Amino acid sequence: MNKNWLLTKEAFDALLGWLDPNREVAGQKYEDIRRRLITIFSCRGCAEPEDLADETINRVANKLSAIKSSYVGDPARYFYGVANKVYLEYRRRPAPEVQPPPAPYDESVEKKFDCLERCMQKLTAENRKLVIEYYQDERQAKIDHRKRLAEQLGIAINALRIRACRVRASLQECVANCLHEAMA
Amino acid sequence: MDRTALVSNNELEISTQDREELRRYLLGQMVEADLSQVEERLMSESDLYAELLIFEDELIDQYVRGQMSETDRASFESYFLQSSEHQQKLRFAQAFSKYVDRAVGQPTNEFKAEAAPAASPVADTDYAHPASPSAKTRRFWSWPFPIPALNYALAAVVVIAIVGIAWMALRSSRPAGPGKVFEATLVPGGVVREGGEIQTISLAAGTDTLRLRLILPSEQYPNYKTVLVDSNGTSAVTRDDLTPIDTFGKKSLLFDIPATTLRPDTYRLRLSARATGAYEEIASYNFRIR
Repeated sequence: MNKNWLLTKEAFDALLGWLDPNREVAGQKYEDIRRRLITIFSCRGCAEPEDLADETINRVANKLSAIKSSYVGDPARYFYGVANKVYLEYRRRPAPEVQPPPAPYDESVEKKFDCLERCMQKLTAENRKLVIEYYQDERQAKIDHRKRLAEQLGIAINALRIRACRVRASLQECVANCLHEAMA
Repeated sequence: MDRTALVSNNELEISTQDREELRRYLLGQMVEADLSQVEERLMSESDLYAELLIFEDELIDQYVRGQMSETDRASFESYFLQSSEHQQKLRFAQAFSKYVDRAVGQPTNEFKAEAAPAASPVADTDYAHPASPSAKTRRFWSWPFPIPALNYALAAVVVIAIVGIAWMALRSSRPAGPGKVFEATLVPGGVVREGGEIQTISLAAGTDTLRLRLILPSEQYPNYKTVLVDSNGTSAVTRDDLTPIDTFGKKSLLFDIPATTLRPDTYRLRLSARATGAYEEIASYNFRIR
């Protein structure tokens, strides 16, 4: 894989211009495309999904002058086509050692738990209550509980899922930062 | 990666078929052509991508709580967990699930709906916003005291009384001893989890006791201690001062676990031993209850 394709400021500006004439909107689109590429590489089991996403973006930026005038359609799909090529090259590299699944119990869970307690306290009282209510119970009891919770909040079950997922994601990020600080 | 901004709309338009496809996609159960189709859509359809992120969390929670079929579990471990990002999410979910389990049963009055009127200053154990008529009509009882602390104290006394009566009734109605025993033999792994295979145990209905025959490592000690921990790291059962017996020429320990303490989950049994002085962990055994 050619890792020498670096993204210059000019190339990056041109890329943003291709995504949208409004620089702010273009920046959001860029971030969105990058996140989705990371997710896809991650779902394919790649060990370095962020590097592969950046490599994809660099290649698109480098080809931009050649394709900009002729390509028609959603730029995200073009990124996906390039990502497929990057992935095929990645597959040809020696396979990284497969990590065993995380232990059902290990010390990092305990450390994470300490950080989690701290991060839970940083949530608003409302969000703290929401995630505890949303993620409790099992199987049918959980489904029933979530229906009641959505009813009580006066929102659809999907809106509740989105809210819970958003709070959980912010919690996970907070815990990651907390662990990073603890190790520093 | 910052995922907080991704799920930003308030409603998703996702069909059951799409959800099933996402499940197969995440578990690596898709043929190449379908996989490309799903990924192309993930690049351009925000709803589908938002659903994927939610679904990932749900899948991980199912795994953590031992609620997956054997096939899905195998796919989850061999495919989904290849990604370091997914492994991080799993570790988070393990801690989070433990936190939620501990937090449940500790009522708070902090909740109110986003667009709801402010909560009444009088505490109410219904966490729905107080103006919700559906919540009001569902309620068929009310707390006797206006002060929540008194209500909680009353609830605690009632719960303790019920548990005590039930326990005494159970004691008098059941004969002492292990009852119906299901026996399984486990071989040791190392002190870290990676050692040893994970054996799946299916307890038959009506089983009172799971009797584990633990084959001991070659180095022998006079006394052993075992601690059973679940996937959240919570100690479920501890036994001290166990002495080895002979099983087909090998030393082993018998470790009885009341079936009522077990649920579908992955467990780790930590074995410590001592010649004199303090116990030192020497091996572990992993098993899964289906």
